[in-house]
Amino acid sequence: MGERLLTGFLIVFSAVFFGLAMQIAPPRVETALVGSFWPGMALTILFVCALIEFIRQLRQTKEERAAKETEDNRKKRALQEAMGEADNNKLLIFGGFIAFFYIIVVDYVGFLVATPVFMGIYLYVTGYRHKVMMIVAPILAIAVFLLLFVVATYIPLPRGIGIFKDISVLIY
Amino acid sequence: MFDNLLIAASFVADPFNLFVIVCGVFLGIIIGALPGLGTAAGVAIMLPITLALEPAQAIVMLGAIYAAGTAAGAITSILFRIPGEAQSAMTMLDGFPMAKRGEAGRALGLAMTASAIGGVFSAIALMFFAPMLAKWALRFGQAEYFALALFGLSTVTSLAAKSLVKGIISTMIGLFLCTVGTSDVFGVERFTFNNDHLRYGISYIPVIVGVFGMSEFLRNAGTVVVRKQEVAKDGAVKTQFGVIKEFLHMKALMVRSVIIGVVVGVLPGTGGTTSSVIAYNEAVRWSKHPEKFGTGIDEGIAAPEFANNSACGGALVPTLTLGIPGSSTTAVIMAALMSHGLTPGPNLFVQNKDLVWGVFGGYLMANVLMILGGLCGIWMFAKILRVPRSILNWVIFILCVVGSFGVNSNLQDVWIMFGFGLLGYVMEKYGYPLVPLVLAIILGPIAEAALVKGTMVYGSLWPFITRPISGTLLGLSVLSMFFPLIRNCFEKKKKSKTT
Repeated sequence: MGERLLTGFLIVFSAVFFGLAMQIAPPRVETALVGSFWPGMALTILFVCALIEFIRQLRQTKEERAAKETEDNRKKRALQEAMGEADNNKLLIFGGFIAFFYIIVVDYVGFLVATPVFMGIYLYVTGYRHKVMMIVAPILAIAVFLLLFVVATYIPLPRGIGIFKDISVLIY
Repeated sequence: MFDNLLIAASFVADPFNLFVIVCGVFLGIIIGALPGLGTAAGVAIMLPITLALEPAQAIVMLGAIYAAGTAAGAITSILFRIPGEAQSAMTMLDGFPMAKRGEAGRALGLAMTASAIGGVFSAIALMFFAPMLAKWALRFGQAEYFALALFGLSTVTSLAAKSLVKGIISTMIGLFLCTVGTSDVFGVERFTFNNDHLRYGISYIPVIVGVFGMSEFLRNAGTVVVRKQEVAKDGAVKTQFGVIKEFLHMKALMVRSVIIGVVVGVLPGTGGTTSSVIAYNEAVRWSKHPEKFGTGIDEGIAAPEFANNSACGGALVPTLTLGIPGSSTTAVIMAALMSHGLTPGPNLFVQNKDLVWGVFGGYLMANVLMILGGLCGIWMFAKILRVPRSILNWVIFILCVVGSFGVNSNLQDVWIMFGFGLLGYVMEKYGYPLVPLVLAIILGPIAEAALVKGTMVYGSLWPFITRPISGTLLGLSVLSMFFPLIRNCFEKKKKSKTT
């Protein structure tokens, strides 16, 4: 189902953007090719290939799909078995959400505050329960990051706004 | 030649440059040893940090991470039966049985030394062949550049995915995305939606960090460890220095595997995994005792390790001389070069000779240092594997955020990184390869500019086919694109004949 949704999305995406590509202004200098040629070509091929893939998925019978999924799952499970791992969709969604909220929050509270707080939450939710390390790891991580980015490589870090910015400016 | 070697030596003699190489080797071994975090993801995460360095230092650091990461993939293959890198899967076949016998140290020593020897020889091959190829490529015009970019894209597209259609879809998404922004060739805006940030186009770094790094974070986030892996017997893992003398008995195997590695590495889209499989199979074929392979013998560990590190140097040859990356990791290294305002290709050898030879010297040194790092510090790197997965995963995420924020100091790049991370995760989940996407974003502008300029210079598209080099490359592009289909046809015919 997910795969069909993805190819369906690609078909719509390529059709919409092909329409937009055709509206690209003509170049300021006279050339044999125009600005819409390259994106138009890429989107046309994308549309055709996504359509082929979508039809292939539709033509696949339930049995074929089930057999393919079983085969894929078997390979994946064998690999995970060897590595002692298992899938956890709840944690995957949590990972996506925590990353999403971190990027929103870091703009307001800055790197210095957001990073250890979110790291603590992430460690707790993913099942880490070592109390001392739960406190030490975020502090140690922030110290290493500051040393690596601010002192060693001069890479700017988000400072936040208001009081958070004042605190950040004191340190980096 | 002697002058160039002096440039390389003086680069390596600089204490800070040496420090950068040591850091690269150290980081590479950590990245390679962590299961799931490939060298491409590792180099992508580290790329923004190297922007603070001089271009030559940055490339050498990434090259050192690449070489050391490839070699260190063997650590988990041998100790835990988990290949840290796909290219170390063959090492596992003999490495783990040897470690189970209580000879983990010997297996690690063999693997690291073979990797380093392979790396040193490939660095020497890089020094000799790259300038020759660059000299030849100086004759290239717009038609040849277009054909070359197309050749790189077609080979990667056809080889990277199980399904050719999915490979093409991935490439086309990349070719479309690289058109966002103000076109350098036409001077018109494309898909910018009056957004100031999009006017400058989509920067390589957030895209690469997102596709390789952020998607890695998501993949790890959705995976839990349910049981500790089976660990080899040797509790105190200490590498044995004595194994070096074993290589004296493997001269033929070494030469064969290194040649396989360099040649396969040069071909775009193949790289370390293919070379290690071929080298292992050849080692079995030429052996007097093929039945012993898989039981934990020296040759079974050395052959794939010689080859996969030789492929690293091989993959750098087309990247630096022609601007066509030979692997996903070299695509990231190429993006790093471009982020420093340098264009990979034959002109790099003329205009930035010091940089090129500095990189060669640094890469050679990184491989030499890898022997010392590998032999002395394996116990330490094995301990890093015990750091909880969730801590390591959060570190990967923060490196992705800071790396993409640091490019222009704005959060829009972080959102681009996040978006491409999701895209990379979904695409990989449904079997769409990521390498063609990244390669298309890098090569797309080169191909488009060459096509437009070429039609302006030649007056038509005809010379693109009639010029000998570009015509040959275009022919090879078509052939490589349909290679999987042709192969399938032959296999079906073979099967029907046998039945």
